[in-house]
Amino acid sequence: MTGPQPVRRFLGRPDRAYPGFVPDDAMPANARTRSQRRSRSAASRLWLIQALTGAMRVVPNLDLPVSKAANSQVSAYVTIYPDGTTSKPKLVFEFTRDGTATRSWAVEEWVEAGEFPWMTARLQRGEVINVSHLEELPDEAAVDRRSYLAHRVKPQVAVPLLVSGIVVGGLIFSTVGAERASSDELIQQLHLLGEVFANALSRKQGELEAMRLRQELAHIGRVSALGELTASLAHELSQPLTAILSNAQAAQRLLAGDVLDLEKVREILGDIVADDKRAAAVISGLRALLKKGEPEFVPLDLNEIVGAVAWLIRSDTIMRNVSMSLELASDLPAACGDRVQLQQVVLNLVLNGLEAMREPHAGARTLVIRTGRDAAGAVRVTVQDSGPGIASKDLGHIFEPLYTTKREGLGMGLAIVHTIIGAHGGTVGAENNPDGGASFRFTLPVASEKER
Amino acid sequence: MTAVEPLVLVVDDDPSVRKGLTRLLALADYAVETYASAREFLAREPYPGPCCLVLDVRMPGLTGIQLQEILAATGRRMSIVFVSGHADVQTSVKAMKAGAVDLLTKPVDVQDLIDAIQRAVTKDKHDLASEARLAEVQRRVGLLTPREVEVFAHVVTGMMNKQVGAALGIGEKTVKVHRARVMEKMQAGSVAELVRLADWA
Repeated sequence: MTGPQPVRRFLGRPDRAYPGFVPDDAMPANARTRSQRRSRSAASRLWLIQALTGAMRVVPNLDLPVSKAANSQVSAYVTIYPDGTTSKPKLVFEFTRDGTATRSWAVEEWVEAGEFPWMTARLQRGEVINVSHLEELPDEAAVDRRSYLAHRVKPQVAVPLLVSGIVVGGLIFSTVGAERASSDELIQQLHLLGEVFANALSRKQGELEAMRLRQELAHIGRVSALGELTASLAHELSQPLTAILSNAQAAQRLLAGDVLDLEKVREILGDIVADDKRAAAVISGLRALLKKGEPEFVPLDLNEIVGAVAWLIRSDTIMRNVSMSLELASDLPAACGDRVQLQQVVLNLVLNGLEAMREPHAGARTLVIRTGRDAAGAVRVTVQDSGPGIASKDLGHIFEPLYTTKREGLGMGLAIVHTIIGAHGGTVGAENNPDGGASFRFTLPVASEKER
Repeated sequence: MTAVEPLVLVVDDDPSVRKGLTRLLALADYAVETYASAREFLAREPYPGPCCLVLDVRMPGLTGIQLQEILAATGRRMSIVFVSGHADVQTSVKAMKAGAVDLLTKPVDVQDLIDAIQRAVTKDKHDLASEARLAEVQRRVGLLTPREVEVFAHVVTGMMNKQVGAALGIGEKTVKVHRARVMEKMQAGSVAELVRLADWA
């Protein structure tokens, strides 16, 4: 074997996970079902194939050493250490002679990292490994040698994948079948390939990190919005619970009496069931809003989303002495988006409107939620309040993060609206109404035929 | 005191809650009336007999606390038991300071509710009796002439006829005549009884 190639020093263990291309067993909990995990895993592999083939096109004159023998093939393995530890490397894909990825390997074709302790340790130190003949392997690689034999792997070149000086995984090329030495030139090319590929990983990781942060932020936003709703939610739950308890205790009294009126007991039980369902509906409404997970973009009826939020906020408007009305367009086309996130957007706008009307002021407190279409045909939702309106100095800034005109405001509500709608390809806007108060609106593109 | 049955008036915007509470209180042998809002309740004629208002704190339109304020402002004294799903300390203190009998949190246990209603009805009976007595004393005072009122006011402070006469610039004999009329109109058998009536008035 040739000596290790000069590489950047391994700067220590990465302190965070590298999402997106992690093995299935490290899949985040929000990939809830098996099928979701499988499709995520497939998407993750597909992305890796594209990234690697893309990287291969970048490396000049790359000629993977494929022997002409029928039983010979070159396999590329990508192994990722999700949390900097030697977790299971994953067989990712296999290359044919022309260097194009043909298919990803089936998920069950795992190789245990434990099978290659010597190679894994060296990769994690940032070293390039080049094994032409198994006999070259040092004594301490006895375990690796057994594994190579078991997998019928002959020559192998492995380059570490470094992101910001940290080893996040390895790219391993093996030939099955005939033994063959790898030239220094090939090693250099594979090393370059590893760097290009690691760069792509790094970019992807950045994107994923940003997406995760956005989701996290939206979740925090929802949780804090719900904090504001605690009183009304307690009310929503205590009403059916009160009815249930009264009815149940009434039934107990009936049963303790001398004459048993079964018809009456039956009627009471029916009411108990109905009220219990009502309480359950409050909870499932909450759960839908608090759901933390991957956004799922599906065609949605905005009227339904507005209705759900209005139902949730109803009790709050009562307490605030606000009369809320809905003006929903009957022929609203579906828009494509994530239900939880769009509920969050509507809730934030409604809470924003309610907050604006908090200070004592003359005139009725009214909140109108309207759906319709704008001149360009996009689906539009408007939340109109009768508060003091927006000062002209604030108009240009209200959607900026941490910008607030409220004493106790965090300046996150409208910023979250802006971020979510931006990610949906829509627009947000705010203006003062001619007859007082302000209107906040967002638009979303109509879902295409295909999406529907 | 009247012979009218105690009545429980339930004001809650939630139909299921009204239905459940009515069922429960009817089984505990109370006459129950329900109202969906404070305004609906206010439209009812004041009930002449002992009664208790079971009032939801949080309602659309007028809240329970606002209804309590309106009743106080219009001189309609009522024994109120508040029930609330989410009563903050401020609201509870306000309600109790304004004379509520109790404030129970939802979901409310039948025994707690019945105990509170019982206390409220007892308090209401007591209040009704005082009111009736007060009304009677005031009726009797209304029968007195201005001069007799003056004599009444002085006599109950413990003054002798002579002193009253001096204070009002009239003769002792005249005071005596007025005083006899006062005792008669006020239906008091003794000065001590007259003093007690004066306390109520």
